[in-house]
Amino acid sequence: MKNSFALKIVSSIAIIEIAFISAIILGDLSTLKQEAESEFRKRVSVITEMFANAATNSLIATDIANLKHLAEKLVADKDISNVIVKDNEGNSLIDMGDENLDEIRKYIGNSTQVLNGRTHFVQKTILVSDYLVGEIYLGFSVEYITSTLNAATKKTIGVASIGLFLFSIFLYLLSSYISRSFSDIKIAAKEIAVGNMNFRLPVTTTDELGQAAYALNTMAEKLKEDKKLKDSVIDSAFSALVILNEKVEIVKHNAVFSAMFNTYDGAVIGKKLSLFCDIENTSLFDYDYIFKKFSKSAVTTVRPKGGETIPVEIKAVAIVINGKNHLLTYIRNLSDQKKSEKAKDEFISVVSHELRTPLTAIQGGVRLLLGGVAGELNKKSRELLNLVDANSRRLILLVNDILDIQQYEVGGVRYNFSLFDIGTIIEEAVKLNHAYADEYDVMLESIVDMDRDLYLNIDYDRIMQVLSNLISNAVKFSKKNSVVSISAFRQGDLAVFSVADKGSGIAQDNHSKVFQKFFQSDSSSTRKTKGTGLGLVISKNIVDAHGGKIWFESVENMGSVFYFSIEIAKNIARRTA
Amino acid sequence: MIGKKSVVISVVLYFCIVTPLPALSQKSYSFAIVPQSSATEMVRVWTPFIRYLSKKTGEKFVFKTASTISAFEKRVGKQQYDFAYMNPYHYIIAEKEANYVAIAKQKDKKLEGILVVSDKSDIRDISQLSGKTIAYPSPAAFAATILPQAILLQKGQKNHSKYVLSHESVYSTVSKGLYPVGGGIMRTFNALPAETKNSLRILWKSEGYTPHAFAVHSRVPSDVQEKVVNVLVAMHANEEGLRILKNLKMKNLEKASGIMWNDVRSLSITTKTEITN
Repeated sequence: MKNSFALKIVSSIAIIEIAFISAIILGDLSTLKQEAESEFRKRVSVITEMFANAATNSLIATDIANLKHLAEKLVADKDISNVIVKDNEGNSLIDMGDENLDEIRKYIGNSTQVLNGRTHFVQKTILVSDYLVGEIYLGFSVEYITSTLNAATKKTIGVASIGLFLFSIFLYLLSSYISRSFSDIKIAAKEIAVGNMNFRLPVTTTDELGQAAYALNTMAEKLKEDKKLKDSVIDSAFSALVILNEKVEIVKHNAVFSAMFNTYDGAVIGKKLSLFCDIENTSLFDYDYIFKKFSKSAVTTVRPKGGETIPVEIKAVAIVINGKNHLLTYIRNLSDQKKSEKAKDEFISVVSHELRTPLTAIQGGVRLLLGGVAGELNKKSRELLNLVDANSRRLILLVNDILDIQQYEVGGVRYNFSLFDIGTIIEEAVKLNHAYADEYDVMLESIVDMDRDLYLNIDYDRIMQVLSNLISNAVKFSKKNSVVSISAFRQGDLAVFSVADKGSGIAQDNHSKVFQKFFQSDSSSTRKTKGTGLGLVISKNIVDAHGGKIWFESVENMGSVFYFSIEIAKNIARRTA
Repeated sequence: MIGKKSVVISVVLYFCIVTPLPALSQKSYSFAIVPQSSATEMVRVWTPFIRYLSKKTGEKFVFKTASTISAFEKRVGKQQYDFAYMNPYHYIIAEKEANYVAIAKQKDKKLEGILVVSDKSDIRDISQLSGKTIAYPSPAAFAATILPQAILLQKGQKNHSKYVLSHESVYSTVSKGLYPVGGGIMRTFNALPAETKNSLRILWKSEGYTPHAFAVHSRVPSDVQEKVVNVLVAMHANEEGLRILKNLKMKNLEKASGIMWNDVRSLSITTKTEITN
């Protein structure tokens, strides 16, 4: 079997070779025979003609001695067996050879130029100027041809056989070499296929097979490098990475996985994932469970066997390996993240308590002083205390806003949704901000251009916070005695609230920065407006949380209009309370 | 291939059309001609004569010759030929030794031999030739060899003879000074290129002698002999015969008898011939 390829090549080419050589030999022998016969006839013709010419004078002169001499010379040639010379009176002047003339004439009579098997006879009449001088009969042995042909046949077949033999040996050696090389390549390919990336073929020649071996080695090297790269990518990943087959058996995993589940390479490959952990407190999970639950990443918990529950984010990606479904599963340990969030919460808590408490105390003390608790204040003291009060109030606002922002960004804000009608919302908003507008000598007006009894499902306090932000901004930027309009109108399924002022407006260049943190329309040091630059950011977070949209229109020195939309609650027509 | 085919075809035709070699129901007579050139040339020149003779006499004649004069002499001596055309010397021997009789010869024709020397030679007379080497074409050449030899012998001269095979060889060797003197005949001398001819001088010219004889063996029936003589002497009288004679460089033939060669006999030639052996 080892040499089946070689034997196939040798046998098939040898058969073709034999067929070809046979055809060539047969053709050659046929040609040779024709040539030999042609040569023979030519020779017969030439000898007969020469003998006739040489004998003519002697024949005319009846010079028997010379004729005999000529005839003897002729029969000395072993191929010429008969020489008969007759004069013009029919007298036999020369008669050499075994056959008698009557017998010879029978052959010649039938056909003058046909071989009779052993001797070919020719007759020639010698005429000189139409005068019959005599005639000659010559017998030529055809054994010359047959022996030549036989010798040629033997020689040709001999040479062909030797050639075929040598050719077959050469072919066998060549095909054995090719077969062996193919076999080596096959073994190498198998080794590489099972993952033996260090297997290399010796490259001993520069021919195609040598090149093939070299190419295979190069491929193995490349695969090795690719695998190394892939393994290093997988191993250096921050997440645990595990490839599972349809039976949720581990096909591949990385070092993070080993560390997370306190195991090692040899112990996990081919084993079920459930042997190493529970997911969401269960070990009853299968391929579909993982795929459906985690095809979009989800936060959950896993508990390594014999270990403690870990908060994780899992994402499963379906991949196909060798035509079979697999899951590439990332498991990200969220423990550290949770810890940092907790630290941040604690920090915020510290800030809220440690900053706000003294600030409140400061503000309380200042207000008590302004209220005359420590006696009547003179004008200068009152002014200074008013300044302290205003700044402490601003500082409290800033702290509150920062805390709010932190809450919104970590998604830690809890919303209490309930139904409120449009009319109430608008009225309350105007009422709530009336005092503030008075401070700036700005009038508030409300316009409800829709059904006031339509309900919105909102966190009332947060929406009030949004409206208050927008109204206070509008008031701040409005000129004295100007009007800020608070409106509500319907747009399809949405209720749109707007707050419009005729203030300084926002420069076109700043439009894109309006919802960024700490943005101030008037960033000059002499600005008269007060704020933290966080209000619009907080408002956007709140509107987003209600599934709505917030936007604005503004022309510098002409004023601004801020809008936000909230979906109208369906199937609830009237306030129940 | 065409040559080969035509040979095959001609051979086949020969067997189909021409009957196999002569059945020889009719008596044939051999007619031998002394070899003067190659056998094939002899056939070419003489076969029309033989055919004419056969046709005119109604008898069958077969052309014969020999490869050498010596062989011809032997066959004459053995009386193998029925008819033979031979030189005068052969004839007088054959008549005496082999029962041949002359029946015809060329009319008004005499054989003359010449001896030539170089134009610059100081030899002026044949009396000066004693002891000299003389070039001759061949021992059996009657006019060019036998005649001068016989004459010189009669004059009591002893010379060395050198046979150079052809008349041309005689003339050129003498011209080049290889030999002082050479034997020839007027016809061949006149046929020489001018350059060679001018370098030579005719030293001596023989008298005219009776030419070659048409002889018949005594065994041939007299009526056949008579028929042959009649045809021969009448040949020049018809166009065909005249043409044949012309090819043989003869004018006409006449009836002859042995006594006509007495001039030759008178020379007492001693040259050896194979006829007598």
